[in-house]
Amino acid sequence: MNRLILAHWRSTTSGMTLVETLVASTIVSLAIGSMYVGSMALQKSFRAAQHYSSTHAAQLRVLDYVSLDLRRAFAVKQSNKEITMLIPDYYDRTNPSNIKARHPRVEKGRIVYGNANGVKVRYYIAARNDHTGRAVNDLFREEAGVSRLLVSGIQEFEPGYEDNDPRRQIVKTSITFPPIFRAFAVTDAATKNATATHAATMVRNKREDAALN
Amino acid sequence: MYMQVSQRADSRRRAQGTTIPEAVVAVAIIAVSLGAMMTLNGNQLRLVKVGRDTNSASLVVQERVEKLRTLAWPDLADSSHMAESYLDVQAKAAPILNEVTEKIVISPYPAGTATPMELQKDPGSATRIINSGSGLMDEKLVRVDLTLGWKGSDGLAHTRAVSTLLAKSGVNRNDVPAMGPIAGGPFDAFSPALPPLPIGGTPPVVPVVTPPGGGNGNGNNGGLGNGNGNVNGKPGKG
Repeated sequence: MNRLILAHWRSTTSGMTLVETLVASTIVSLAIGSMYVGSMALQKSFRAAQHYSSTHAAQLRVLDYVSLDLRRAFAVKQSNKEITMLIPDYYDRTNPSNIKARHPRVEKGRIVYGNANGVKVRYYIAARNDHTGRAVNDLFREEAGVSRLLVSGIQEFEPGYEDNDPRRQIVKTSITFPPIFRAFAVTDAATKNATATHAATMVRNKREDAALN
Repeated sequence: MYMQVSQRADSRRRAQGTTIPEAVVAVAIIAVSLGAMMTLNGNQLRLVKVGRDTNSASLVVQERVEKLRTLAWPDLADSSHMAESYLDVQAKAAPILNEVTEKIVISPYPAGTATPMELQKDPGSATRIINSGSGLMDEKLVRVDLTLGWKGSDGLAHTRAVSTLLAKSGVNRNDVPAMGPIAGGPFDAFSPALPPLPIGGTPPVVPVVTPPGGGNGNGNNGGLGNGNGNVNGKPGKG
């Protein structure tokens, strides 16, 4: 009787064959593998989008800095991915804890603040490798010999003059950055185009560029 | 014995694996979840691009206005020049945008006898002069309405618009002498200052010599040129 019951139990609860097991494990592996790859890609994509947005905001911030200085500059010179200008000496920084705005005065037919030679402002980049070993640049703003980091991890900073503008009255600036995640087939040139932000600013003051030579 | 068989049969029923419909439903739920996440990701990327497009459009508008302020007044009042040398020249920040349409209207401010100039550039075609305007050359102040339209990455039409006033001797100092030579000059060679204001009197009138054809935008502007001084035709230095 016992034997009969056991035989019946075995026949109704038979296990999977080797082939069935292999097929099932393959399907499960594929499903789990694709979910893993998909979730990783999603995470990378979210991180890349976050990086793209924050870097774009940094680009706009830097372009705003440059435009502000260009609008008040009276001498501008750009060379080799850096731009130098002279702005009026608006502030009295004798006491760093109490910086005062100066009153203008007229000297030799022009409005002057403080030192008539103005204050030199320079935007320049310095190369370094980031934590992944990629070559990136940091962009600095130097005013009166003191440099401050404006943004790190950019690809290129390219100031230039507008075409067909012999007076060089409009200064164009572009900034690109290396994205942290991109498709395999995308070239560096395409990346540069896709991340470039351009601004154009008119230099409003009478130019005295020779002061920078 | 009967009892033992019955218990084993119950345990067998309880230990049965998932049926095919159950497995299909589970897989479908997982697929829908993953699909939703992918869609969310796609939408997020699209939003990032829309934001970038919008910023680029603002930069294009800003670039257009800056360029406007460097134009010589005769050029600003000339619809052909505005079409060919201004609106047909693509802004540096524009290539990132799709199907860009630009429209510019230059009208007297305040409204007077002059009629507005109206130009439009549609995607892939040269600028159309809708209305060439008249009398703008004699105005002292004009209002410029610039509208930029583009098709966003979300498939919707977007617009950025700006209005500004341009004076004949405005930011770029058209007609004002002593603005210096091309690209600046010697630092200590200040151009002669304007004559002092007579106390209690009216400001001195700056002599303006109107050359045939107006200014040429290149240092020797002869009075109505580019704001680079040399009103009387003195060639620029530098």
